[in-house]
Amino acid sequence: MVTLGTMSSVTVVHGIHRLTLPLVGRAVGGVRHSLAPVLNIGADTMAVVNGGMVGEDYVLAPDDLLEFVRLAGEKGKVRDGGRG
Amino acid sequence: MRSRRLEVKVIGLGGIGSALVPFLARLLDAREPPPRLTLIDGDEFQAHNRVRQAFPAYGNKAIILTGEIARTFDRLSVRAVPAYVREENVASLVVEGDYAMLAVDNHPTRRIVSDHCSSLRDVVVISGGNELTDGNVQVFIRRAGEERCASLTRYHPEIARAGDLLPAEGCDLRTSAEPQLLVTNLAVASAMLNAFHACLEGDIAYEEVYLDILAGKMNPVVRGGTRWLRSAP
Repeated sequence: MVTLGTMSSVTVVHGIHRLTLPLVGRAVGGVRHSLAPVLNIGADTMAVVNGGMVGEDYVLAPDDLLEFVRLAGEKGKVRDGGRG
Repeated sequence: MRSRRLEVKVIGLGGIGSALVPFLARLLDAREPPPRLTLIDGDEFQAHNRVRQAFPAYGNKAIILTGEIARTFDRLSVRAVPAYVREENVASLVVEGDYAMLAVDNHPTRRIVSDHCSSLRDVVVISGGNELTDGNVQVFIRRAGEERCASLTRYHPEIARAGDLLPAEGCDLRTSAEPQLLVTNLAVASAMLNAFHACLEGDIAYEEVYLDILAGKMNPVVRGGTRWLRSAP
């Protein structure tokens, strides 16, 4: 059986990473804390849901697209935390 | 009916810009009517640039590269502007209807161009940048006074709040401290050309794309919704 989607999922984007995870009902701050070591999400990155900036207490809804906006490249430095 | 003559400005002719220009010129050379290409940079090509940049002589990058492109693509109208982009000259360098390919290595210049273009009715800005092995390309589109793809600053406070340390005021110091890779520059230049082609075809499907040469990945991002995209230009 092929499952094309689930009502309880949230898509999380950070830089080259894109994950679909069961995060409905979770706050953005908690998601950031959980995924930071996995995706190298910086504490200073902006959180955006469906194109709008949100605070750390925003509670994720089904089919939300959450992005922790990776800083724009500037001039060749090695990023803290590596790839993301 | 003849279409409007395409005006393309390339701002920054370092590792990304110098890799971008020959292919951009070849792409433009095939268009009718022949577009106009303007190369803008106040920097000089020097011996230490040879690791990542191909110029046939030493001197101002805009002037040298313009000569090369004009000799190779004689249908194109090519001109050099041997100057850095500043608050004082941006309005005369990027005007209504332009496609601005922004290949600079500093956020203050990105902020200046983005803020100025936010006041224009019709403009496309494609901005690329990189760190050592990763980079990103942003697409900023305004049509009929409406923002169709977000400005360079909307989702990037590091650009919106960039200070005033512009090239020739501190760039050389950072160059020696922060080496770049030719392959990353090339990957970003290629991604900028992808975005340019998509914009010309009216089929851009993302607002920003991230890439990483070690991971071998690119990830396109849409933030404002697809209502902004497709047939944007």
